Amino acid sequence: MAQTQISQAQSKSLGAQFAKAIPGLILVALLAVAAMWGEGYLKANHKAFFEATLLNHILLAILFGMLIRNTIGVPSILEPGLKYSTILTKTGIVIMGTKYTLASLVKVGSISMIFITVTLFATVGLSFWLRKRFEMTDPLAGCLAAGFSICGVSATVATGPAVKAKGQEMAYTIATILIFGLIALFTFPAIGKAIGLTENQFGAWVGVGIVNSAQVLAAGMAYGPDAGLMAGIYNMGRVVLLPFVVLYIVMMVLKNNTSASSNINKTQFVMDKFPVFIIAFLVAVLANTAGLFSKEEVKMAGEIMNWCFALGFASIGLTTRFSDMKAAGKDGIILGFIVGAIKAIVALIVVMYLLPL
Amino acid sequence: MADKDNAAAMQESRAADLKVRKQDYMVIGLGIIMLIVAKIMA
Repeated sequence: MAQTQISQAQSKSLGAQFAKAIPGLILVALLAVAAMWGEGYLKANHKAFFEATLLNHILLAILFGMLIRNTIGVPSILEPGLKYSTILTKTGIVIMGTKYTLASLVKVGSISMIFITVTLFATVGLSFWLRKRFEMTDPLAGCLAAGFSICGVSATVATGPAVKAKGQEMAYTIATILIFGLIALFTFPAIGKAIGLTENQFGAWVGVGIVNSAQVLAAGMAYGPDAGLMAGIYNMGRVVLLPFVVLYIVMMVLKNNTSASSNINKTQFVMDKFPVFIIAFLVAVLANTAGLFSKEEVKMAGEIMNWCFALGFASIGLTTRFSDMKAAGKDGIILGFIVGAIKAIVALIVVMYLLPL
Repeated sequence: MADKDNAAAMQESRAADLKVRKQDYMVIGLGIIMLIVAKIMA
Protein backbone atom coordinates (compact mmCIF):
# COMPACT_ATOMS: atom_id res chain seq x y z
CA MET A 1 0.00 0.00 0.00
CA ALA A 2 2.71 2.40 1.13
CA GLN A 3 4.83 1.38 -1.87
CA THR A 4 1.94 2.08 -4.25
CA GLN A 5 1.52 5.51 -2.71
CA ILE A 6 5.25 6.22 -3.07
CA SER A 7 5.30 5.12 -6.73
CA GLN A 8 2.14 7.17 -7.41
CA ALA A 9 3.78 10.22 -5.82
CA GLN A 10 6.97 9.61 -7.83
CA SER A 11 5.12 9.29 -11.14
CA LYS A 12 3.07 12.38 -10.26
CA SER A 13 6.24 14.35 -9.54
CA LEU A 14 7.81 13.05 -12.78
CA GLY A 15 4.66 14.11 -14.63
CA ALA A 16 4.76 17.52 -12.96
CA GLN A 17 8.45 17.89 -13.86
CA PHE A 18 7.73 17.05 -17.49
CA ALA A 19 4.77 19.49 -17.61
CA LYS A 20 7.02 22.26 -16.26
CA ALA A 21 9.67 21.45 -18.87
CA ILE A 22 7.31 21.66 -21.87
CA PRO A 23 7.55 25.48 -22.54
CA GLY A 24 11.37 25.39 -22.48
CA LEU A 25 11.46 22.26 -24.63
CA ILE A 26 9.25 24.00 -27.20
CA LEU A 27 11.75 26.86 -27.40
CA VAL A 28 14.62 24.34 -27.75
CA ALA A 29 12.72 22.54 -30.53
CA LEU A 30 12.03 25.83 -32.36
CA LEU A 31 15.73 26.73 -32.24
CA ALA A 32 16.69 23.26 -33.50
CA VAL A 33 14.25 23.63 -36.42
CA ALA A 34 15.65 27.11 -37.17
CA ALA A 35 19.22 25.73 -37.09
CA MET A 36 18.36 22.83 -39.42
CA TRP A 37 16.59 25.23 -41.78
CA GLY A 38 19.48 27.70 -41.52
CA GLU A 39 22.02 25.07 -42.58
CA GLY A 40 19.87 24.07 -45.56
CA TYR A 41 19.40 27.73 -46.54
CA LEU A 42 23.13 28.53 -46.34
CA LYS A 43 24.06 25.41 -48.31
CA ALA A 44 21.53 26.17 -51.04
CA ASN A 45 21.96 29.95 -51.35
CA HIS A 46 25.37 30.91 -49.91
CA LYS A 47 27.57 27.89 -50.53
CA ALA A 48 30.88 29.79 -50.44
CA PHE A 49 29.96 31.43 -47.12
CA PHE A 50 28.88 28.05 -45.69
CA GLU A 51 32.13 26.39 -46.74
CA ALA A 52 34.20 29.23 -45.28
CA THR A 53 32.37 29.46 -41.93
CA LEU A 54 31.27 25.81 -41.56
CA LEU A 55 28.09 27.04 -39.89
CA ASN A 56 26.20 23.73 -39.75
CA HIS A 57 23.03 23.06 -37.72
CA ILE A 58 25.03 22.39 -34.54
CA LEU A 59 26.98 25.65 -34.57
CA LEU A 60 23.84 27.56 -35.61
CA ALA A 61 21.85 26.00 -32.73
CA ILE A 62 24.53 27.12 -30.24
CA LEU A 63 24.75 30.60 -31.79
CA PHE A 64 20.96 31.13 -31.84
CA GLY A 65 20.71 29.93 -28.23
CA MET A 66 23.54 32.18 -27.01
CA LEU A 67 22.10 35.13 -28.90
CA ILE A 68 18.71 34.77 -27.21
CA ARG A 69 20.17 34.13 -23.72
CA ASN A 70 22.54 37.10 -23.84
CA THR A 71 20.27 39.66 -25.53
CA ILE A 72 16.56 39.38 -24.73
CA GLY A 73 17.15 36.74 -22.02
CA VAL A 74 15.11 33.63 -21.18
CA PRO A 75 11.99 33.94 -18.96
CA SER A 76 12.09 31.77 -15.82
CA ILE A 77 9.10 29.70 -16.99
CA LEU A 78 11.30 28.32 -19.80
CA GLU A 79 14.27 27.37 -17.58
CA PRO A 80 13.12 23.85 -16.54
CA GLY A 81 13.03 22.76 -20.19
CA LEU A 82 16.66 23.73 -20.76
CA LYS A 83 18.16 21.10 -18.45
CA TYR A 84 18.19 18.20 -20.89
CA SER A 85 21.23 19.10 -23.00
CA THR A 86 23.42 16.32 -21.57
CA ILE A 87 20.74 13.64 -22.01
CA LEU A 88 20.10 14.74 -25.60
CA THR A 89 23.76 14.91 -26.62
CA LYS A 90 24.54 11.56 -24.93
CA THR A 91 21.56 9.99 -26.72
CA GLY A 92 22.97 11.36 -29.98
CA ILE A 93 26.29 9.65 -29.14
CA VAL A 94 24.52 6.30 -28.53
CA ILE A 95 22.76 6.56 -31.93
CA MET A 96 26.10 7.54 -33.48
CA GLY A 97 27.17 3.93 -32.76
CA THR A 98 25.24 2.84 -35.89
CA LYS A 99 27.72 4.80 -38.01
CA TYR A 100 30.63 2.57 -36.97
CA THR A 101 31.54 -1.07 -37.33
CA LEU A 102 33.94 -2.99 -35.09
CA ALA A 103 36.44 -2.91 -37.97
CA SER A 104 36.33 0.91 -38.07
CA LEU A 105 36.95 1.10 -34.31
CA VAL A 106 39.87 -1.35 -34.58
CA LYS A 107 41.25 0.69 -37.49
CA VAL A 108 41.54 3.73 -35.21
CA GLY A 109 43.33 1.24 -33.05
CA SER A 110 45.70 0.83 -30.25
CA ILE A 111 48.16 3.56 -31.30
CA SER A 112 45.41 6.17 -31.02
CA MET A 113 44.35 4.78 -27.65
CA ILE A 114 47.95 5.08 -26.40
CA PHE A 115 48.04 8.66 -27.76
CA ILE A 116 44.78 9.51 -25.94
CA THR A 117 45.94 7.90 -22.67
CA VAL A 118 49.34 9.61 -22.67
CA THR A 119 47.74 12.97 -23.50
CA LEU A 120 45.20 12.70 -20.67
CA PHE A 121 47.66 11.80 -17.94
CA ALA A 122 50.29 14.26 -19.24
CA THR A 123 47.66 17.04 -19.13
CA VAL A 124 46.92 16.25 -15.49
CA GLY A 125 50.67 16.26 -14.71
CA LEU A 126 51.16 19.56 -16.55
CA SER A 127 48.20 21.16 -14.72
CA PHE A 128 49.57 20.20 -11.29
CA TRP A 129 53.09 21.32 -12.24
CA LEU A 130 51.85 24.71 -13.48
CA ARG A 131 49.46 25.03 -10.52
CA LYS A 132 52.40 25.90 -8.21
CA ARG A 133 52.85 29.14 -10.18
CA PHE A 134 49.27 30.29 -9.62
CA GLU A 135 47.20 31.33 -6.62
CA MET A 136 44.57 28.63 -6.23
CA THR A 137 43.33 25.91 -3.90
CA ASP A 138 44.10 22.20 -4.41
CA PRO A 139 40.43 21.33 -5.12
CA LEU A 140 40.23 24.02 -7.81
CA ALA A 141 43.48 22.77 -9.34
CA GLY A 142 42.03 19.23 -9.27
CA CYS A 143 38.83 20.35 -11.02
CA LEU A 144 40.79 22.27 -13.67
CA ALA A 145 43.10 19.29 -14.25
CA ALA A 146 40.09 16.98 -14.68
CA GLY A 147 38.18 19.39 -16.87
CA PHE A 148 41.09 20.16 -19.19
CA SER A 149 42.32 16.58 -19.49
CA ILE A 150 39.17 14.52 -20.06
CA CYS A 151 35.73 15.59 -21.19
CA GLY A 152 35.16 18.95 -19.56
CA VAL A 153 31.95 19.32 -17.66
CA SER A 154 31.33 15.61 -16.86
CA ALA A 155 34.88 15.21 -15.58
CA THR A 156 34.55 18.30 -13.38
CA VAL A 157 31.28 17.03 -11.93
CA ALA A 158 32.86 13.60 -11.30
CA THR A 159 35.95 15.06 -9.64
CA GLY A 160 34.58 18.02 -7.67
CA PRO A 161 32.93 16.22 -4.74
CA ALA A 162 35.80 13.71 -4.45
CA VAL A 163 38.41 16.48 -4.01
CA LYS A 164 36.08 18.51 -1.74
CA ALA A 165 35.69 21.35 -4.25
CA LYS A 166 33.17 24.06 -3.42
CA GLY A 167 30.23 24.68 -5.76
CA GLN A 168 31.75 27.91 -7.03
CA GLU A 169 35.08 26.17 -7.76
CA MET A 170 33.25 23.63 -9.94
CA ALA A 171 31.21 26.40 -11.60
CA TYR A 172 34.43 28.37 -12.21
CA THR A 173 36.09 25.34 -13.85
CA ILE A 174 33.07 24.67 -16.03
CA ALA A 175 32.98 28.34 -17.13
CA THR A 176 36.72 28.24 -17.97
CA ILE A 177 36.29 25.03 -20.00
CA LEU A 178 33.33 26.44 -21.89
CA ILE A 179 35.15 29.70 -22.75
CA PHE A 180 38.14 27.70 -24.05
CA GLY A 181 35.82 25.35 -25.92
CA LEU A 182 33.79 28.15 -27.50
CA ILE A 183 36.93 29.84 -28.81
CA ALA A 184 38.24 26.47 -30.06
CA LEU A 185 34.89 25.60 -31.64
CA PHE A 186 34.96 28.66 -33.88
CA THR A 187 38.73 28.80 -34.56
CA PHE A 188 39.92 25.16 -34.86
CA PRO A 189 37.94 24.43 -38.07
CA ALA A 190 39.45 27.55 -39.69
CA ILE A 191 42.96 26.52 -38.55
CA GLY A 192 42.36 22.98 -39.84
CA LYS A 193 41.33 24.33 -43.23
CA ALA A 194 44.22 26.77 -43.37
CA ILE A 195 46.84 24.06 -42.78
CA GLY A 196 45.05 21.49 -44.93
CA LEU A 197 44.16 18.83 -42.36
CA THR A 198 42.22 15.87 -43.71
CA GLU A 199 38.87 15.12 -42.08
CA ASN A 200 40.36 12.17 -40.16
CA GLN A 201 43.28 14.28 -38.92
CA PHE A 202 40.97 17.09 -37.85
CA GLY A 203 38.61 14.69 -36.05
CA ALA A 204 41.52 13.17 -34.13
CA TRP A 205 42.91 16.62 -33.32
CA VAL A 206 39.71 18.05 -31.88
CA GLY A 207 39.01 14.70 -30.19
CA VAL A 208 42.06 15.40 -28.04
CA GLY A 209 42.49 19.20 -28.28
CA ILE A 210 38.99 20.37 -27.30
CA VAL A 211 37.85 19.30 -23.86
CA ASN A 212 34.07 19.47 -23.69
CA SER A 213 32.51 16.38 -25.37
CA ALA A 214 29.67 18.36 -26.93
CA GLN A 215 32.10 20.91 -28.37
CA VAL A 216 34.36 18.12 -29.72
CA LEU A 217 31.44 16.68 -31.67
CA ALA A 218 30.26 20.13 -32.79
CA ALA A 219 33.70 21.09 -34.14
CA GLY A 220 34.19 17.70 -35.81
CA MET A 221 30.81 17.78 -37.53
CA ALA A 222 31.36 21.37 -38.61
CA TYR A 223 34.49 20.22 -40.49
CA GLY A 224 32.79 17.30 -42.22
CA PRO A 225 30.95 14.01 -41.62
CA ASP A 226 34.14 11.88 -41.45
CA ALA A 227 35.76 14.39 -39.08
CA GLY A 228 32.65 14.13 -36.89
CA LEU A 229 32.89 10.33 -36.79
CA MET A 230 36.62 10.39 -35.99
CA ALA A 231 36.03 12.99 -33.27
CA GLY A 232 33.30 10.72 -31.90
CA ILE A 233 35.66 7.73 -31.64
CA TYR A 234 38.37 9.81 -29.94
CA ASN A 235 35.82 11.26 -27.56
CA MET A 236 34.70 7.73 -26.63
CA GLY A 237 38.33 6.75 -26.02
CA ARG A 238 38.62 9.63 -23.56
CA VAL A 239 35.30 8.98 -21.85
CA VAL A 240 36.26 5.33 -21.17
CA LEU A 241 39.33 6.58 -19.29
CA LEU A 242 37.37 9.07 -17.17
CA PRO A 243 37.22 7.03 -13.93
CA PHE A 244 40.95 6.24 -14.04
CA VAL A 245 42.00 9.84 -14.65
CA VAL A 246 39.65 11.11 -11.93
CA LEU A 247 41.11 8.55 -9.50
CA TYR A 248 44.64 9.74 -10.40
CA ILE A 249 43.63 13.38 -9.78
CA VAL A 250 42.01 12.55 -6.43
CA MET A 251 45.19 10.73 -5.36
CA MET A 252 47.28 13.76 -6.45
CA VAL A 253 45.08 16.16 -4.45
CA LEU A 254 45.05 13.90 -1.39
CA LYS A 255 48.70 12.88 -1.54
CA ASN A 256 49.51 14.92 1.56
CA ASN A 257 46.64 13.28 3.42
CA THR A 258 47.79 9.64 3.55
CA SER A 259 44.91 8.36 5.69
CA ALA A 260 42.31 9.81 3.27
CA SER A 261 44.01 8.47 0.16
CA SER A 262 44.49 5.00 1.64
CA ASN A 263 40.79 4.90 2.64
CA ILE A 264 39.64 5.08 -0.98
CA ASN A 265 38.33 1.78 -2.34
CA LYS A 266 39.82 2.16 -5.81
CA THR A 267 37.80 -0.59 -7.51
CA GLN A 268 34.54 0.81 -6.12
CA PHE A 269 35.63 4.33 -7.14
CA VAL A 270 36.25 3.27 -10.76
CA MET A 271 33.00 1.25 -10.89
CA ASP A 272 30.96 4.19 -9.51
CA LYS A 273 32.35 6.63 -12.06
CA PHE A 274 32.21 4.37 -15.12
CA PRO A 275 30.00 6.07 -17.77
CA VAL A 276 27.59 3.18 -18.50
CA PHE A 277 25.95 4.84 -21.52
CA ILE A 278 29.08 3.79 -23.45
CA ILE A 279 27.76 0.22 -23.28
CA ALA A 280 24.72 1.28 -25.34
CA PHE A 281 27.05 2.95 -27.87
CA LEU A 282 29.03 -0.30 -28.17
CA VAL A 283 25.81 -2.33 -28.52
CA ALA A 284 24.82 -0.04 -31.42
CA VAL A 285 28.27 -0.60 -33.02
CA LEU A 286 27.92 -4.39 -32.60
CA ALA A 287 24.36 -4.36 -33.99
CA ASN A 288 25.59 -2.47 -37.06
CA THR A 289 28.56 -4.83 -37.43
CA ALA A 290 26.18 -7.82 -37.28
CA GLY A 291 24.15 -6.27 -40.12
CA LEU A 292 21.05 -5.54 -38.01
CA PHE A 293 20.70 -2.11 -39.66
CA SER A 294 20.13 -1.64 -43.38
CA LYS A 295 21.61 1.35 -45.26
CA GLU A 296 18.27 3.18 -45.07
CA GLU A 297 17.98 2.49 -41.34
CA VAL A 298 21.52 3.81 -40.71
CA LYS A 299 20.61 6.92 -42.71
CA MET A 300 17.42 7.42 -40.67
CA ALA A 301 19.40 6.87 -37.43
CA GLY A 302 21.80 9.57 -38.68
CA GLU A 303 18.88 11.98 -39.14
CA ILE A 304 17.63 11.28 -35.60
CA MET A 305 21.19 11.72 -34.29
CA ASN A 306 21.39 15.14 -36.01
CA TRP A 307 18.14 16.17 -34.33
CA CYS A 308 19.34 14.98 -30.92
CA PHE A 309 22.49 17.08 -31.35
CA ALA A 310 20.57 20.10 -32.66
CA LEU A 311 18.22 19.96 -29.65
CA GLY A 312 21.07 19.36 -27.19
CA PHE A 313 23.21 22.18 -28.56
CA ALA A 314 20.29 24.60 -28.67
CA SER A 315 19.86 23.91 -24.91
CA ILE A 316 23.60 24.46 -24.38
CA GLY A 317 23.43 27.80 -26.21
CA LEU A 318 20.36 28.87 -24.24
CA THR A 319 22.16 28.20 -20.95
CA THR A 320 25.47 29.89 -21.88
CA ARG A 321 25.70 33.23 -20.09
CA PHE A 322 28.54 35.58 -21.00
CA SER A 323 28.21 37.18 -17.54
CA ASP A 324 29.10 33.82 -15.85
CA MET A 325 32.20 33.67 -17.99
CA LYS A 326 33.21 37.23 -17.09
CA ALA A 327 32.74 36.45 -13.39
CA ALA A 328 35.12 33.48 -13.59
CA GLY A 329 38.18 35.64 -12.81
CA LYS A 330 41.62 35.34 -14.35
CA ASP A 331 44.03 32.90 -12.61
CA GLY A 332 42.11 29.71 -13.41
CA ILE A 333 41.41 30.90 -16.94
CA ILE A 334 45.11 31.62 -17.54
CA LEU A 335 46.13 28.19 -16.18
CA GLY A 336 43.38 26.43 -18.14
CA PHE A 337 44.19 28.22 -21.37
CA ILE A 338 47.94 27.53 -21.07
CA VAL A 339 47.24 23.82 -20.45
CA GLY A 340 44.59 23.67 -23.19
CA ALA A 341 46.81 25.47 -25.72
CA ILE A 342 49.87 23.28 -25.02
CA LYS A 343 47.73 20.14 -25.32
CA ALA A 344 46.19 21.33 -28.59
CA ILE A 345 49.58 22.22 -30.14
CA VAL A 346 51.19 18.90 -29.11
CA ALA A 347 48.12 17.00 -30.33
CA LEU A 348 48.23 18.83 -33.68
CA ILE A 349 51.90 17.91 -34.19
CA VAL A 350 51.24 14.25 -33.30
CA VAL A 351 48.18 14.08 -35.57
CA MET A 352 50.02 15.68 -38.50
CA TYR A 353 53.31 13.83 -38.32
CA LEU A 354 53.04 10.70 -36.19
CA LEU A 355 49.57 9.14 -36.34
CA PRO A 356 48.81 6.95 -39.37
CA LEU A 357 45.47 8.61 -40.24
CA MET B 1 37.38 15.52 12.36
CA ALA B 2 39.38 15.24 9.12
CA ASP B 3 38.23 11.61 8.72
CA LYS B 4 34.62 12.73 9.12
CA ASP B 5 35.15 15.41 6.46
CA ASN B 6 36.66 12.85 4.09
CA ALA B 7 33.82 10.42 4.68
CA ALA B 8 31.27 13.17 4.00
CA ALA B 9 33.13 14.15 0.80
CA MET B 10 33.17 10.54 -0.40
CA GLN B 11 29.47 10.21 0.36
CA GLU B 12 28.73 13.39 -1.60
CA SER B 13 30.88 12.08 -4.43
CA ARG B 14 28.93 8.80 -4.55
CA ALA B 15 25.62 10.69 -4.53
CA ALA B 16 26.82 12.73 -7.54
CA ASP B 17 27.90 9.50 -9.28
CA LEU B 18 24.51 7.95 -8.64
CA LYS B 19 22.79 10.94 -10.23
CA VAL B 20 24.98 10.63 -13.33
CA ARG B 21 24.36 6.85 -13.40
CA LYS B 22 20.57 7.40 -13.36
CA GLN B 23 20.93 9.90 -16.21
CA ASP B 24 23.00 7.34 -18.16
CA TYR B 25 20.26 4.72 -17.74
CA MET B 26 17.78 7.26 -19.10
CA VAL B 27 20.12 7.87 -22.06
CA ILE B 28 20.39 4.11 -22.73
CA GLY B 29 16.58 3.80 -22.71
CA LEU B 30 16.09 6.82 -24.95
CA GLY B 31 18.86 5.66 -27.30
CA ILE B 32 17.26 2.22 -27.73
CA ILE B 33 13.85 3.80 -28.35
CA MET B 34 15.36 6.12 -30.98
CA LEU B 35 17.10 3.20 -32.73
CA ILE B 36 13.79 1.33 -32.87
CA VAL B 37 12.12 4.50 -34.21
CA ALA B 38 14.86 4.70 -36.91
CA LYS B 39 14.15 1.08 -37.92
CA ILE B 40 10.40 1.71 -38.11
CA MET B 41 10.66 5.02 -39.98
CA ALA B 42 13.24 3.87 -42.55
